[in-house]
Amino acid sequence: MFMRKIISSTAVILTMLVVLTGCGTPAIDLFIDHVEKASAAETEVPALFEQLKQLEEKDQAHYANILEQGKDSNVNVQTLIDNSAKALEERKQAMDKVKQQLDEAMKQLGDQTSTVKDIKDDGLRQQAQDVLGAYNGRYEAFQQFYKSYDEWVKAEQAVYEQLKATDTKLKSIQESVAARNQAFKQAEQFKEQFNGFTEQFNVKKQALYAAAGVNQK
Amino acid sequence: MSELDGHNVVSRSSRHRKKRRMGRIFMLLVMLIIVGVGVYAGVKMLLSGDSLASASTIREDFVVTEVAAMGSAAKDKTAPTLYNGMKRKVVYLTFDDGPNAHTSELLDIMKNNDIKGTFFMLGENAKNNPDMVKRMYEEGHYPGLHSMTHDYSKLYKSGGSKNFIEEFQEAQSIVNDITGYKPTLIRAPYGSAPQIGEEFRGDIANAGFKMWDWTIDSYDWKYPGNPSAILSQVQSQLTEDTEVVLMHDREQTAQILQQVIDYIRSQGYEFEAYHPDQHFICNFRHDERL
Repeated sequence: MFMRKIISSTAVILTMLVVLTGCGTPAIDLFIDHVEKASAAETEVPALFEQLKQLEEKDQAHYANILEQGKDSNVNVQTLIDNSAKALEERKQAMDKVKQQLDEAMKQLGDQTSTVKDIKDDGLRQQAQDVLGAYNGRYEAFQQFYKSYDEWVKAEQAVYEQLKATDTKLKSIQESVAARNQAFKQAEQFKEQFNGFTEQFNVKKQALYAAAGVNQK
Repeated sequence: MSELDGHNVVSRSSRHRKKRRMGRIFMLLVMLIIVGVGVYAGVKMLLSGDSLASASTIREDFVVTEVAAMGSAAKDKTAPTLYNGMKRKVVYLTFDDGPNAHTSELLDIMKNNDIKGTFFMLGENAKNNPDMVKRMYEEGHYPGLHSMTHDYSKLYKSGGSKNFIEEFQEAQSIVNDITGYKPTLIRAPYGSAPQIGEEFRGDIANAGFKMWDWTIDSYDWKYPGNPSAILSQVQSQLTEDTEVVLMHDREQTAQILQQVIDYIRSQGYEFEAYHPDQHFICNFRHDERL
């Protein structure tokens, strides 16, 4: 009877030791979990970016081709123009998919403000804050880039419409090309911002993980 | 009950009491240990981090995913001058070395003919004639840049592009201060060839500039007192659908400009000023970066 009490008391002590030492998931681990879930949610984005790059390359080539073959008559290039217009639609769809992925990734991240605040170590907390800032900045920059990319594609469309029209004027084509170039420059500016934040996020994330002692596979 | 039995009863009761006392002492010890561990855990958490467990022990097989940046293959597009059987012939009149005493007359002639041109200005002259620069910009002409000093040695013989780029950045800043517009088109004093090599051109492009030379040289600077020679030069060289004519802010140029305009128009050309969204390559080396 007495031995049973000793044994059961020892079991209680050991249980409470385990509970006390493992109490709660550290805030830093929670944060890292969410950050990696968000990063991993962008699985299709690299392939979509590559697709967009290839479509843009083709568009440049098609445009040059249309101007060359359409010198005498734009009747010769109607199919080429239609194909270019279809490719513009593909670009729009690819960009829509990128947006969907980034929106989903943002949902995976969730609101980490209070988690970051709960990180006790001052250095880790600041680094986590920087990582969060970079990711949020990247997301916001993408929203601007997405809108401006849409405007750019519309401006491209307007150029092809001018090239296709039977009563087209060279002055009108020139004006539509100028508008297209302006829209393109605007999109490029936002893209550079997005890429800047992307690099920041990747670098700061690695630094945070190193500081937190995360062993990467 | 025998004496012995009574003694035995007394002994069993005292052993019982001893056991209960031991049990209570043991339970007290257990509680002290629990409290002690709890205090230790709490103090350690407060002092050293989030928990007694470190991140590295939790994440031994952690996979890190980098997020992607986007590349680009797109470039500026150039509008056609020949399409669908239509031809558009365009001349860009350009004026170097101003603004000076003759610029006003040039601007008057351009305005009377409803023509816009491109003025490649020296930064010092721009600083000394801000009203002229303002007028030029407000009347729709392009306020291009032509360095600060026009000094060949300083610009091209210093061992690199640093002086060149600094002069154009200074000139750019002056024009920006006057007009609120930051021009990016430059013309190198004496032209870009042969003094500007590939690396030098790369530095210019990386500094955010575009660079024009010309397709027609009017040699107007050679003909003070002989403006008709300027017209002859233009007439003899006007051949392509798109031409960029080099002229200067000179008295003889102002004297002949109206006739130059009339001749060019008679050949079916339109006039335009440089527009950054309608940029086309016009440097001697056909460097697409510029």
